[in-house]
Amino acid sequence: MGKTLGPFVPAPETATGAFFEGMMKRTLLVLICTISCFGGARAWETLAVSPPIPQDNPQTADKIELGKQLFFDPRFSSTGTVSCNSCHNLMLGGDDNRPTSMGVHGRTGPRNAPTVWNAAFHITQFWDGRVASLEEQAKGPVVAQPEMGMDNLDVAIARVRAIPGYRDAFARAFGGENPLNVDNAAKAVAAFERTLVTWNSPYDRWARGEIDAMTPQQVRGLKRFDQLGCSGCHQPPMFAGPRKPGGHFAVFPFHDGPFVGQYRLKDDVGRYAVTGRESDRHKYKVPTLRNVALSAPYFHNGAVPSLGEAVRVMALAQLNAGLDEREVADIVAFLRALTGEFPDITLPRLPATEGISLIEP
Amino acid sequence: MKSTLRNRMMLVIGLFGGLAASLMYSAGADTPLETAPTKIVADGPTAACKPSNLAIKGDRKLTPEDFEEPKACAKCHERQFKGWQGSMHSLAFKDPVFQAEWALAFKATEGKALNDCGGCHSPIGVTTGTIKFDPNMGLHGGFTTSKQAEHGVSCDVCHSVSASTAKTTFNGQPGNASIELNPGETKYGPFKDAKSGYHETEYSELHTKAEFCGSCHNIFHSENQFPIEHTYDEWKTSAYGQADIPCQDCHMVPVDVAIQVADRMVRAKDVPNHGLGGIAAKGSKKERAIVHDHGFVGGNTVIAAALGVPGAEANKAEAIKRLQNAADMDMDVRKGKGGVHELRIKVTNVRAGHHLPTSLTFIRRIWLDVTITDDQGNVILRSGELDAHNRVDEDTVIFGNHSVDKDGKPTVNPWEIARFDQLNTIPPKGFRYGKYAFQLPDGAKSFKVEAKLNYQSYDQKVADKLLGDKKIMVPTVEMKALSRTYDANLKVAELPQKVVAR
Repeated sequence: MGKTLGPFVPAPETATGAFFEGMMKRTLLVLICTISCFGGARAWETLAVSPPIPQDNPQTADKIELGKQLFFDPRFSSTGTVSCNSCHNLMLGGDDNRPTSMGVHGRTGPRNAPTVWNAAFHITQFWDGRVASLEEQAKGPVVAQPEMGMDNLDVAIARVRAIPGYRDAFARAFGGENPLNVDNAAKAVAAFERTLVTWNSPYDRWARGEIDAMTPQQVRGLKRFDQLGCSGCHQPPMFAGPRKPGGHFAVFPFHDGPFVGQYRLKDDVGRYAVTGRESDRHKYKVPTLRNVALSAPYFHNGAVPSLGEAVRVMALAQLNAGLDEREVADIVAFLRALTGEFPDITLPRLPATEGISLIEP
Repeated sequence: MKSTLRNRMMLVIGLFGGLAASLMYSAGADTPLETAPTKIVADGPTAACKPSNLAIKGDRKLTPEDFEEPKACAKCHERQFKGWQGSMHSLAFKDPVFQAEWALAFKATEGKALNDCGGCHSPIGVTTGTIKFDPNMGLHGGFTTSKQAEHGVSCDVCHSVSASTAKTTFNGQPGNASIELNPGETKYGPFKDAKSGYHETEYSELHTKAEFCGSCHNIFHSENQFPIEHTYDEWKTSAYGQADIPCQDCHMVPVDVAIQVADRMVRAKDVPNHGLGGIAAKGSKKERAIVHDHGFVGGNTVIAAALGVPGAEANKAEAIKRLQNAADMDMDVRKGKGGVHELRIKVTNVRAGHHLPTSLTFIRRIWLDVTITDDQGNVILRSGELDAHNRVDEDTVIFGNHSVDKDGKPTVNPWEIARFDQLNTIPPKGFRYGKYAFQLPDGAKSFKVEAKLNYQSYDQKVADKLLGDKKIMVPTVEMKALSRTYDANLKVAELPQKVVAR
């Protein structure tokens, strides 16, 4: 065997530091940040201070307050009974804990209500990612027949316009001519939703260096979650799909198996219904796992009743991994560490229509 | 005491001259930045990929976000990621030696070298127009780019290659980044039945071919079209090319398998018990006959280790092992006239599917270090010894090519090279001799020849020019060693033996 002569060493008169100065130092930093294996808490990202704010809809106090009123106001549903909050309950995990939501006249829709908490971090909205912004999303349920059931957005906005207090609120929030319109209503709701962020979960505190913020079991669960490959789709810090231009969609279920029939996982064609592309069959946006412990039942059809079962289904259906009970318990424990701190929300006073009702009997 | 045949010296003398010229040149190029050409500096980065052969599929304007972060790929393709992390592909943009060379080229070519070099070293940076020249980096300036593009030849460069653009090159052959990129949902790869829940998959025959690697490992001067680096062309005309054993079969498998490939001249998949089967991604149910390594190990033992990237040590160890198995050495001594004998050291390229050395053949160093000692302990020939400057002298037998500019003046600056005026690399399965003349002192009863074949990724002088004097000491890898003792009648007195590593 030969041997290596003159092994690489910085020349004696130059310390390693000198060599790495300037460009090298920068390069090294980048390299260190690139280390992606389970490198201790510091390698894990925490939730950004603010979700992205679109340039054409800056956050203002008046707009956020107006959006909050609209969010809680059931009068823009055909029966006057369903508000955004009915299915996206902010006093809970931002959903309704039903398999699929119940709208006007007791009708139920095809899919489970996703949580509205932290939705502002998603690059697309709805399970199938059919719209790109919260503004666009906000318009959908108002006219969805199994949800708020209005005939169209003009009818809905006419109801808003009939409420004097809203006319003032829109003027305050937007100014200009005819500020009370559908787009501004959607902007206000979206602005409010961008305040619905749950920072400081035990995971976030742990990732910032509070090593006791997660229990040993939760840390174990995170490691297993990472090793299995769950974090491939559920990427930190949102534990959702990557923020790709145009969105990111993953196949669910990927592998066939007993769960597929048991929970009717393939009845829904997913994004295929939007695009008609065969490759989009059974594809969905990868939902956030933040506050997932609060949003049972699980998956697009809400067919899986418990978090532990959801973990088992995902491991087998996506990663071909059968987990033992201890592993399931560890991962569930970790997922509970993604439950954040919820801001205090006071129910808003809504502007009244004195002496009349807008709701048709 | 030195003695060699003069005909081997010209190369070395030429190289010295070339380096001197290039040093003078670089002094000229170090003019203040405002005068340093760079129309591109003034215009800002451009997304046009010319003069490289890089193309973007369809009418798309790409942003860095169109490309996946390697760490995202790592979540499912952990093994591939780890190999890549320690590889030169991951450092194709950051490599400080390259950055300095690129900066010199950039300044000397009025910015044209931005895409010329960037096409292969940072395809994401070029296609997204995010590379910027920073005159304050390093000795000669350097480049910054977006986070995604900093990863050089990252996962999503190769696996976004939707086609070769070789048909559009001046000679219809791969080279100068002859790839078309289509980043997005679809990842292109070598498996016909690949399925992923995370991304779309498309089978790409190109990924299984040497032409794929040749897209960048075949470099022509973009104006005079001289083949500066011709690794692919070397392969194409070799026994490996004829047997259709592509680059991937040696550089994307462990060296032990690569040795088998070269010795048996069979595809890696046909090496018995190669042990490379497995699943290509976490969560997959499909067992693959071969899951390829992504360390792309060649001969570079310097940069990854110097930067201390994860996996660099493993990559370096593998590179050393590869170098130590690439060549074989033999020797004989023949009687000459007038008491002058000739020692011939035969170096055979036994296991590289390209020349030894390849790529930057005009700055890589493969040379013979030879000592002849008589039984009295007199050193009667010494050649190829490293001096205090980590260099060998001009008499040394060096296997490499000698480059000159359009006027025939020696230069090692790729942007100035117009041709090689001496060729001395060793072709695949071929050999070259290093020849030495010597005389035995009166009374010598026997003598011993000790020969070593050494490798440096580049000449120390080049490293000094690019990074500053002795900022790094280019390591020497001993590729092969052989010693043999002869009696005064030039008969082998002692069986050949390999020199044991000290």
